[in-house]
Amino acid sequence: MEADTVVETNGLTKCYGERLAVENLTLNVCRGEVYGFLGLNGSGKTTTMRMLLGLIRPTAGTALVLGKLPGTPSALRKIGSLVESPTFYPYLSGYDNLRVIARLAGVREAQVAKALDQVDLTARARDAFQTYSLGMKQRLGVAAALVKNAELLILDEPTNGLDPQGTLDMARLITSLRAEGRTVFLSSHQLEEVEQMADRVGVMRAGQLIAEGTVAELCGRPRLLVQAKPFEQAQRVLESAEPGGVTVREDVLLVDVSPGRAATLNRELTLAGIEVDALRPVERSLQEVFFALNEGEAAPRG
Amino acid sequence: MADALRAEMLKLYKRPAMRVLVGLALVDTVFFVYFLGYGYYLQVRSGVVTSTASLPMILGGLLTNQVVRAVLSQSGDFVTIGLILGALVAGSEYGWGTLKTELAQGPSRLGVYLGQLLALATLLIILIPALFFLALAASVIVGALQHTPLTWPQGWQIPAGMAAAFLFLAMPSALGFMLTTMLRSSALGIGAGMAWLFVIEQALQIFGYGAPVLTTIVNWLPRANADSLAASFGQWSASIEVPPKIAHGSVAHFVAVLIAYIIAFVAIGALAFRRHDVV
Repeated sequence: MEADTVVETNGLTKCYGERLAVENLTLNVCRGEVYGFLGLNGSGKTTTMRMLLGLIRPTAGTALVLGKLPGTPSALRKIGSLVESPTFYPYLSGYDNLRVIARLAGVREAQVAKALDQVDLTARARDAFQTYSLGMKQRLGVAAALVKNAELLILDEPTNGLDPQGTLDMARLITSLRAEGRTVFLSSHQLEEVEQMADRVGVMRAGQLIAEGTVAELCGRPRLLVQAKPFEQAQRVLESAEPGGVTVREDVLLVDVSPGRAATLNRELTLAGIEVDALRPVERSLQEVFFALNEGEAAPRG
Repeated sequence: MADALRAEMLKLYKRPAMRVLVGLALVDTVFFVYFLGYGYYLQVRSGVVTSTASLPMILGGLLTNQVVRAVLSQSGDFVTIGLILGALVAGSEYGWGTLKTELAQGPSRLGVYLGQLLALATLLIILIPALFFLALAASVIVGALQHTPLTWPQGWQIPAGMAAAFLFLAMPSALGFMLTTMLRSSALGIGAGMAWLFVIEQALQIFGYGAPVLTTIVNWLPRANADSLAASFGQWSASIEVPPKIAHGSVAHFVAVLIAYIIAFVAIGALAFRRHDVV
């Protein structure tokens, strides 16, 4: 394990009976980066996070977290985590729940107030957890991850249940954590936020890591957007110029070529008597890449 | 483990269900032995009901020198309360899904497990003297009402009675803790524990009278040894129904069997807990 690698898995696999939840997962998360761990529900993200925390044992493969085996107390004390929905003692207040966590983690209870403040929950800290709204429960879950002043944060859908303002605040918080030099291993369905925050992204599908890289690497080079009349004739001209590179998206054509080819394509369209309304480079969003990677995926696996 | 113990003590202290159970344990002896027993004494004295026991015998069971027998007469209730205490401490973590929250913080699994058990043991160690103190206070009140002189139990009896009460509570607590850990549910743990202690053991005791093999088995059963240890503190009296002695053997045998069960329940539960996938 290299010094700047915080999470390293090698062939990590988890089976529940005959069902394969995670298959041969090999990934690295580097110190100080925000790693967006994406996938549809049931693609194996949460199972992976549970394995990294030592909550479940892998069927095969290995993992090292902060240089230790998952679940090792010395590693866990440096990891803040929120896995799936936040679970706390319903009869305790948010403050007391975090006191329990501070005691378990062996950190000073003074950290509790700071963590509550970071998620803007101080005003309701003395109320019982069972009276909290979904968004407040989620924020308490994030506060629990922050109590330890951890080197690594494993956050499973931290924006789940948050309103737009809460989602924005969470994105700011994660960005500030990165600025403090902490590593964030983040699973989220908020692809726009991930696109903004993540240094690197891994995409899971049916238990396998099917794509990994920086957002720029995954989204690839920009494409050309063409709006022209008559539409079908324009499509034929472009397909003959760039075979297999044309995608129809509602009333526009997306051509998978370097923007430097724009002038050539414009000339060919014009020579064919086609009226070109628009021709400009467009970048693919992470969401588009994500949907393209998960095309045809329907059945959750674990 | 110390961190887990501190966390568990906070949870136990603030948990309403624990307060209710501890409250029940505290009023159990006072209500069933002293309140109802004194009421029975008054009814016999006034001739409303008749009794085969004499009035001095009935009253004698309620006085200060009989306090150990009075408390231990409730061993059946202690078994029930202990079972529920153990099952609730371990099982609620599964019900609420809080086990993953606990285990992700830093202590080892064994540390969390032993922390919970030590917190439970601490609760029992606080509860038992309080229970004896309340019983003693009730017996002083009965004595004062009947103008009888205070006579204290022999010096060794109260600590010995407290140790026995600890075993009555600790054995079913450990059983409830183990069953709940293995079954991952408080309700299942309590149900299985009740079925064992109050149905299966009872049936074995009934059928054991006629079958030597079953009699031998009964001698090594947890509930039978708990009841026998209670019975070893004194004979039945009119107002205090000490459970009949069921297992054959010495006090040392009863104590050794109960301690062995506690250790076995804790060890089996720990093994199951270490292997669990927490999903």
